[in-house]
Amino acid sequence: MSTTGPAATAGAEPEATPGPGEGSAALPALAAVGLRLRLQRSLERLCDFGAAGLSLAALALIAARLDATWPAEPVLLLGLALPAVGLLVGLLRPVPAQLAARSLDRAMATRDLATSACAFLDIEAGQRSRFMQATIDSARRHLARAEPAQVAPYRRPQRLLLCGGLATVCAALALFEPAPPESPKAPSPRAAPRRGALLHSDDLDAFRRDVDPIASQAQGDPETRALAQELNAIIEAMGEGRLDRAEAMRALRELQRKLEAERGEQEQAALREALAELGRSLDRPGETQEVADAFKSGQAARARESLETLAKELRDKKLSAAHAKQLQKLLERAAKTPEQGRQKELEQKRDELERLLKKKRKQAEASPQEKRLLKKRQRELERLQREAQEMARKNEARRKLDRLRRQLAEAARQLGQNNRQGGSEHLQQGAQQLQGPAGEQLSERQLQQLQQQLEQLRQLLSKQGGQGQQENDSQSKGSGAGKRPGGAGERLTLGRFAGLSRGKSGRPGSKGGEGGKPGESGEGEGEKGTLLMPGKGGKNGSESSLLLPGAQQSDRPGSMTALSPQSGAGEGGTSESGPKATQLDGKRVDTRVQGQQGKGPSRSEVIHESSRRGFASETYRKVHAEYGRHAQSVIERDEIPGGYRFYVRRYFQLIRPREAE
Amino acid sequence: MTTEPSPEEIVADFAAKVGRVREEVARVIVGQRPIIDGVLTCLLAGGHALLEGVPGLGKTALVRALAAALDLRFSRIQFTPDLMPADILGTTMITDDEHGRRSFSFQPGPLFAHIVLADEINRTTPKTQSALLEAMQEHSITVAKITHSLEQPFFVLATQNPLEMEGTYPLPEAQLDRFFFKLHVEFPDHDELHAILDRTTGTQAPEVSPVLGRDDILQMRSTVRQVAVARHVQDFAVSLLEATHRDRPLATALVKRYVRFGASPRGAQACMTAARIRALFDGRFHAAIDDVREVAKAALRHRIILNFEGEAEGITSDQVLDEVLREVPSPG
Repeated sequence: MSTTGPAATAGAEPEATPGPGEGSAALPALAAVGLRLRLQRSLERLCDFGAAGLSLAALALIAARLDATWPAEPVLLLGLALPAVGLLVGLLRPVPAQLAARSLDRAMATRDLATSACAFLDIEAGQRSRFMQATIDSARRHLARAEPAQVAPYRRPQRLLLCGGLATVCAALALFEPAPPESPKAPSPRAAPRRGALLHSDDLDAFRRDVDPIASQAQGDPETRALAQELNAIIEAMGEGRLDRAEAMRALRELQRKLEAERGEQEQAALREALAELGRSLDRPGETQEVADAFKSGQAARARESLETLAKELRDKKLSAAHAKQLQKLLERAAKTPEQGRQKELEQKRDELERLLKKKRKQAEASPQEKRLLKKRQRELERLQREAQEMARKNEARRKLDRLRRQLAEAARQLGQNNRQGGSEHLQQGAQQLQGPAGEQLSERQLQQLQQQLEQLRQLLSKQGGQGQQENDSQSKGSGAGKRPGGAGERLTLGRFAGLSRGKSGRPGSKGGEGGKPGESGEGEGEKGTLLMPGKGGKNGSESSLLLPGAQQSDRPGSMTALSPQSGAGEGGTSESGPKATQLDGKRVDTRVQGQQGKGPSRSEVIHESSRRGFASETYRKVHAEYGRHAQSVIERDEIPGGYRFYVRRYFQLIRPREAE
Repeated sequence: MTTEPSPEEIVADFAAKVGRVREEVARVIVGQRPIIDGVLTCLLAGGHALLEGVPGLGKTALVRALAAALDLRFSRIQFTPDLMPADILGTTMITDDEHGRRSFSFQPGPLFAHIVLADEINRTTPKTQSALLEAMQEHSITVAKITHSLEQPFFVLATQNPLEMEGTYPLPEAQLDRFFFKLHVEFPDHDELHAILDRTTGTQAPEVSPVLGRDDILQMRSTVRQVAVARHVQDFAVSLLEATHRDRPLATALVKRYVRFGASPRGAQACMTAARIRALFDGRFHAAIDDVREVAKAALRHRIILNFEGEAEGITSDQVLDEVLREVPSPG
């Protein structure tokens, strides 16, 4: 029998009947327990809101540390106010009597006595049954013995530790004073290396070799020289690791901007070129010899002066009639504009091509030959369009020359009419067209070269930032001993090759990158249609390897197996895919030579080794220079798609002849 | 002048009477306290009990002992396939009086008793089962257009064997619902087996004396209804019932997957009434959530109808109820 039953209540005095809602008054234990529960809940709320507030404060402090102008104070105040709000909410919100009653029942094992009594207390006294009243009385007697401290002991709030942690974080953030932000500085060659080099020294050498002659050219344009030196400084800084990729790209962008500004001055150069052309037209022994020389010099000021002198002589009738006649003919010849003819020719050709292309496109079916022809025509059209754009770029210079030529033609016409005065005036007006800064002598070729190098460097960096980064990451994690100069682990490979040799590198037999399994084709995909892919060499890396499209080289030292295109993996030195050998009756001994297992050097290493050892001769230099020039001209003629030009340039850069080690 | 007894006295008297019955039954039946309490609960609630267990566990002995402890009329019907309704209800016969005049008179069947043991109820045809179940529900019998009321208390204890299903007529769900409790009679443990052997194989057969009369039982039944039930306890019973229905928010995973129909409202009624009786057994004036928990399985297990998947997977309604009891939260 339960202790809450009549046995426990026998002989008890009848008690006053409490009204509804008097649970706490009728059962004092309920009030005491309720108070403790409220305090406990207030502590919980304090910690809950405190955690939220401290999180907010921590975020505000972080934001303030990152940006000193960020208004942290209001957020901090809010963060500090939140715990107080939580405490108030906990204290002011009453604890339901049922909750306290349930705690009492749980603690005292009274099987819902307190909860039921509490519920019955909410019923009007008159409507309560005798058993309900008996339950209330029983509860009053039993709960009188209850110890609130045992019923509802104070517990550590659940989020107390979290609050402590957050408070520590806030304190640390408050005490932490960030260093003042450094202003970006130009890379100093003497600054200590900060990071790993962005480019391999070999690549840097290649760039340096191309840029150094421009930078050190004594008779060159000082502006160009300065730009070359600046590019050199960036290359050096990249080599020493003083620039990260973003900084390097920024510096290169800035330099390119300067270069483009400098190239803008090339309009002046175009003018000079045109003047020289004009000078050559006037270059006949006689009175115009001096004018022709002045024009040929390309100096607009000198040409103007000479033209003015000629006009003065004409006006002052110092020229004989024969000379005047000769001058008229020369001026007529000079007035003819070769560029106009060229432009007309260009426009005609372009129109013709466009007509042809339209016609061809309308034809639904075309043979492969026709398609090829169509593509060729299309490329030609694109070239013409670019040429037209280039001419437009030189527009200002051309306009000046057009005006000059018009004046010369008019002067020739006046001279033809024996109107020396008129001819003189037009010559004078022609001279006026040449007014304005003649510009400094700039080497456009050098600037072009510089810009090319700059562009190549930028492309290399951005390629490295893309696929090459993964390669470097994987290799730097796992290569270990697989690093040696030229190894894919630390040097940049051709972007396309890098994609193929991703993560596979290292010393033969050693685990570089992901490591190589015996017989595994480490270089991967054998992509169809890849032209002239540098193969993976043998152990010593002394063999050169230029594979057929899609071919794959084996891992064995010095051996090379040309598999069929699309073949994926290398199969050692023996091709298993070919037909079976003819069974011969003759006695023979089959010897199977087991090559050394392990990974060979990467493709770029092979190229590197080849260019250094195998072909670093004078003949190779000559051949390389010729082929390089041809490649450049092919690129310029747009026979190579835009996306591949980088690879061609890069390839020739990689196979350049090196100095003897 | 008689004063009305106080609740404390009523509850104490109730508990004492139950205690006496338990003692008497315990002379014959070893252990099986939950079954004895369950049967007593059914008796005091005015319901009927279905006892299920393998043969030889003392189901019939328990009922006999209970009937002996209660000073009530007891009859036992062994259900067989050829048993007809008239065999249990009674029939109208032609009788001769002392003057030689013949007349029809109703001869009551074995159902006309206070405690009826319907042994192996699932062995008889549905026709006869229906006749019994009508009497259980209506507490009256109609024969030849004449309705005969059954004397209170009318308490049917049916037994069935869950193993031998061949040639049986399982009770339809609607008829199972008429039983207040379905009690599983468990196999006795080691010590209990020893005690059973000691009592039944010796020279002295234990005897049970009647300790409660018909009036006592009727009075106790009225006491049951006075037990106070707080709203939160009733809430819990309602939640339990709802949780057995797959379309209700409280439905558990097993219910959603394996239950075709949940328990009927009779299940909740049975839970609450049984909880009240448990409170009185415990000497309390109020029913508690734990009382509901204790009686829930006996009150609801035969009211839950599993779907084909549940039957095929061998899921029992007890498993479903265990999960329901585990997952339904206490109110508040």
